[in-house]
Amino acid sequence: MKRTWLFIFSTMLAVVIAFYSKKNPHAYAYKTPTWKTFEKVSSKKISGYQTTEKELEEARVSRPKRSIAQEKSKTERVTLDLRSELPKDRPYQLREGRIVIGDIGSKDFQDGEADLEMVNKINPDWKEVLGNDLLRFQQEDTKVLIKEEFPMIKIQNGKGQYLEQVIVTYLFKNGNFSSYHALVDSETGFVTETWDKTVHEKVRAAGAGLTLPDYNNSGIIAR
Amino acid sequence: MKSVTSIFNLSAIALVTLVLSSCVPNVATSPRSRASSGLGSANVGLYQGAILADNPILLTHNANIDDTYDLNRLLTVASITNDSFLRGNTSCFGLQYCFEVRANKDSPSALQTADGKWGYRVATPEFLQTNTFYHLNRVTSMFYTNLSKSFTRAYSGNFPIYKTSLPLTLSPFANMFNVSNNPLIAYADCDAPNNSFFDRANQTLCFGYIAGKKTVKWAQDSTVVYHEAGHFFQKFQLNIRNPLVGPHADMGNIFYDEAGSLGEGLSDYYSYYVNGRSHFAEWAAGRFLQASRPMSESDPIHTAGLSTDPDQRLSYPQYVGYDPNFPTLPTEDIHLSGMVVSHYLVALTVDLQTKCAMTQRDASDLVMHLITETLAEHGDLSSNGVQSVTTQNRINLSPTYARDWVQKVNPVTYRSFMQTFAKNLMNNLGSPLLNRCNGGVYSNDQIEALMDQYGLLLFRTYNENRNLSTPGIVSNTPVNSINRKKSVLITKNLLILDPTTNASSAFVIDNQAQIQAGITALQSAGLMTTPLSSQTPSDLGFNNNNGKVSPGEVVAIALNLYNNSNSTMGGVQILASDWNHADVTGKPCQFPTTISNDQWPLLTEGGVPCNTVSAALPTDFAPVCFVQSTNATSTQWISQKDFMTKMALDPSLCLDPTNGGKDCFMRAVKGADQAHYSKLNSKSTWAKTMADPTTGKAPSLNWGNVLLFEVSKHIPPGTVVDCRLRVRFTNCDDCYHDANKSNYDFTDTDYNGPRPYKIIHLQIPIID
Repeated sequence: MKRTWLFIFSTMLAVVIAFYSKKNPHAYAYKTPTWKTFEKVSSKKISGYQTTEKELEEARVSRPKRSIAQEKSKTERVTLDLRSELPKDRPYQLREGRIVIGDIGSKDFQDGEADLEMVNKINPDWKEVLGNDLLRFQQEDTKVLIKEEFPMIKIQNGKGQYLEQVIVTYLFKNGNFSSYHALVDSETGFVTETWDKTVHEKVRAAGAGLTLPDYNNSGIIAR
Repeated sequence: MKSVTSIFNLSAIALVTLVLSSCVPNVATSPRSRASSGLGSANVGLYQGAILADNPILLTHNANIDDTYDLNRLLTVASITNDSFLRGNTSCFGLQYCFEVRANKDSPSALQTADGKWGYRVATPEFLQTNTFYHLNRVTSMFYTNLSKSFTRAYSGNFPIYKTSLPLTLSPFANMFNVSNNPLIAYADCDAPNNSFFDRANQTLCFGYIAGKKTVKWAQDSTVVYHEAGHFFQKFQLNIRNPLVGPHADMGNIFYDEAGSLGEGLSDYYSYYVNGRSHFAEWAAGRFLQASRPMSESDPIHTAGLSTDPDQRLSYPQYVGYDPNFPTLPTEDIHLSGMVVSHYLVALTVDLQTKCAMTQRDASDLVMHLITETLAEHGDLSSNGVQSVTTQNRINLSPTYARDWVQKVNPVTYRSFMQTFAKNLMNNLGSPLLNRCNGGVYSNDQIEALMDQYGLLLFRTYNENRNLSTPGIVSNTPVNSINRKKSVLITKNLLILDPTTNASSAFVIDNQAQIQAGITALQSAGLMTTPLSSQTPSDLGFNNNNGKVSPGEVVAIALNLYNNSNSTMGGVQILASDWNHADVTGKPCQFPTTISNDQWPLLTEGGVPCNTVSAALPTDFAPVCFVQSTNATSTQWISQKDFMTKMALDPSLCLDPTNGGKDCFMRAVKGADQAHYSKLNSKSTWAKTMADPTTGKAPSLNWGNVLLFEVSKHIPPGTVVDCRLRVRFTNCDDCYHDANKSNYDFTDTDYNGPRPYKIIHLQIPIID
């Protein structure tokens, strides 16, 4: 009798696990603290949550398996407090666990080597500010995925600025999407530079449809 | 009883295992591996697969085959990979594999084979992936093999043979694959109608399909794979001197500009580089969208009047916007305008075979090497440009401002690209010390003659000196002016506002819906690099569609420019970015006639004399707009900060409350502070140049044709704002070099001033 119950219990357990696995295949979504989605729910509400596997698929974001060498490197770099892997192509300077970029010249800005006046502070909510700003003018149901890549300090005119390197991906209601890299001010959450914009092959793509007015009544005098 | 118990236990375990195992993909029964033992695999050997060796048009020799043609008849057996996944196995920097191919966004990993074979029917997604992999592997192998050769072309051991831009870390031992730390992912069957694309940020290629003919896939055309891979390689070439982490340079800014055109033309050349054929995308895009592109004037698709004769080449800027499929309809498109450079590069490859007795492979390898050198120099954000330079600021001004320079202030254009390319060609084949042209040299006259056939001899020196302000430290090799027969250089003063009676010189677009669409388009494309002010409502509620500039609006402004010369102008650029036209207190500069033809404003109107230009400190970058201030005795032009003070406006109410009122009332939106027109015909405006000749109808403007300005809601109606814009074009004779200094190019610092530009003022009344 006991064994019969064991059989029934095992079967039910298996069925329950299988049911939930099928019903919600994204329950084990790509859980990493570096991804966050913001969605413009209405003209007055933007919600933020951890990016789902489905959204990453929609944005064609791949998650390649890492090599053993990379895993090893990852372990070694934990002490650097970098939130993503730091390639070893160049001898990066690190300060406060951040990569130093910009007008470095021959100076050493690494921890303990040089004083550096900072022009901003780190706001822990920078990503929320960024997500809201990127969606302010967008249509409802537009989503923006923010992938946190590297924290940085940019040297400019002898002063340092805390920045975050991110990938911004827009997901539109019609299934279209676009991505780019951005540097974001760690205090204001504002984008300061962008690069890596998507290159399309749409020949004779439709333009913006901006038509010139028949006449100029703006009062502007150009000379 | 014991056996019954065992049966119960075994049944329970088996059932649990069975149910749980249904959650795990079974390689042996998954569609991917099942197909590998399907119809096609019987005919292929181990590690082999079925592919289309070229696109179906070429394989059938029939330009008119339709989408019902059985492409299985065209399959060829080829070696694919001995990996069990479709992953490129080139050794990559820190990566297990360089690239992989997946079906689409729903595919969790690269295609896997269970039996080591890759034979599939054309209609299957597995075939598309195999075909994409084969051709991606082919172009990748060729590119990196040549890159290793590049290192030996430029270095002897660790010593540069000439002033190369290739960094020492390019050594084959470094195995540096790309400028990110991720493999390239190619999606062979993307749900992208009439499109393929390269997502540079996430490093993915996406090959779409033909709308209405979903069986016709872009990945069935090998030339498209080579072209898209070309964009990936360009990213690498352009950023080869930049660290993997941090900002990178881009070829172009999405909307029309010459860097984007060059990027498309170079990618077309990648197709030629692999297959030696001077036509791109005959199959999907060509057959069904009439969007294939030739790369030689001998191609029958071309309009009459084009041939490989020196005076009948596809020349710049005459053929900018020329569409061989619709030759009478001008089209402002980077893919079409890129044909000028692709034709030049193919012609050069042929010329090297003739004059230097090179094989086509060697000639195209060398041309690819020159492209790498040229892009590496232009994309350098450390501002060194070439090896062996200890002092910075040889290119792109300085590390602080390098991105602004390469993307906007001094971007890659047909002129700058060809000038650097010519220098590299001279360094490689023109040196009598190297004698790399069949034991001799490819002379400067030969370099210049071919460039001139394409209208691309747009420079007066080879600019080896680059950016060293003192002539003589490094001499610049002059171009022989006798060789400039077809290339036309035009003085900048012939670029004017439309002089036609009653013609408007500028237009304002302030329609709420249109501007909102523009902001969303620009922001989602990554072009707006400064957020709009928090005082601008998200519904743009101040925009009133009255065609005037009003407080609180975001407006687009288009200039109605006119080419008053007898030749075509190419690559017109309008800049509304910050520049050095105010003194340290913010007062507007009045420049001497030696550096500008703009003597505004008079000293009595608030101007201050400025005799030099600098570009090092934040105060060297003044907002483009000043404000008119009137009092009882005079009218003055003052900075926005001074106007803020005069109004006693709290700085927190400025458009940007953090910069002390610098651009408190009206500012060009950063990222939308430059506009482009691809060309202006002689005695014509852009609208007339690009008009449909049959209807006379002007095309609509795109967001790349207009400037975007944000206006404070606190600016009083009746205020007059003066925005001092800077305008130039690519085949300009006095926009890039100093005729009084041996035609040496202007320095990067000069580009922060008025000298290289025609100044155009917009005096804008603020009207409620």
